[in-house]
Amino acid sequence: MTREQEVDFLRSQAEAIRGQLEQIDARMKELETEE
Amino acid sequence: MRIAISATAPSMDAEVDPRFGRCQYFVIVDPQTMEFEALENSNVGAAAGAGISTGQMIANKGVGVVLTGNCGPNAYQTLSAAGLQVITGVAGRIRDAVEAYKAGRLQPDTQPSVAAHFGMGATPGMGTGMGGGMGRGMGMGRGMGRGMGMGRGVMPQAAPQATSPEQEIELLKSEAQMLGQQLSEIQRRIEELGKGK
Repeated sequence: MTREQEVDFLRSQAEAIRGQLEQIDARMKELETEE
Repeated sequence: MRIAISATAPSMDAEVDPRFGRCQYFVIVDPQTMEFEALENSNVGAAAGAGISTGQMIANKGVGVVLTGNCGPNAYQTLSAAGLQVITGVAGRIRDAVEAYKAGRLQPDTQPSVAAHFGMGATPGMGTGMGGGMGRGMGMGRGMGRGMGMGRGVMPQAAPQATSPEQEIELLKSEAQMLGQQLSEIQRRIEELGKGK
């Protein structure tokens, strides 16, 4: 894997994790509203 | 084209380690000659980022195929991005797994077999529950139970589910914290690469 490929991959990975964090945040808000 | 197999010991007669990122060893085999080399996995005790680091290590070894028990989304993406085929659900002796591959009995996967952080327990087989949630199982059997499960395999332990909203919130906080650490690790690596390390 070249450096550029690794950077591209890591960026997409970071983007996916940010998406997961947003989903967690949304779910936590849902749960807090339900309480 | 050489094959990398996650292994419990540095031998052709070792068992396939069910974990990829945190397996103990890799045995890299030339299926034509059955010559092999064994690598110790330095990420076996990694707190975070083991799938990516191990995936990069294997991608840099010039192998074309990975045989393992389970492979999470981080490792799967790393290996796929490097053009490697990933075959999960493999068990038994390394030698037999290679023979099965040569005989065409093993087929490449098109998706990860388990959620992230699978296999974070100290020993193989510990903490392998994955829950059903979005590929964000926490390891140690704490799946979130929110549908869209990632895996196809049957896990040896059932994943405990959050039984109350409070419990789910606690699990989500832990998960968010772990993902945050993973994100920091990725950003640190991107910066390193940007500086030419």
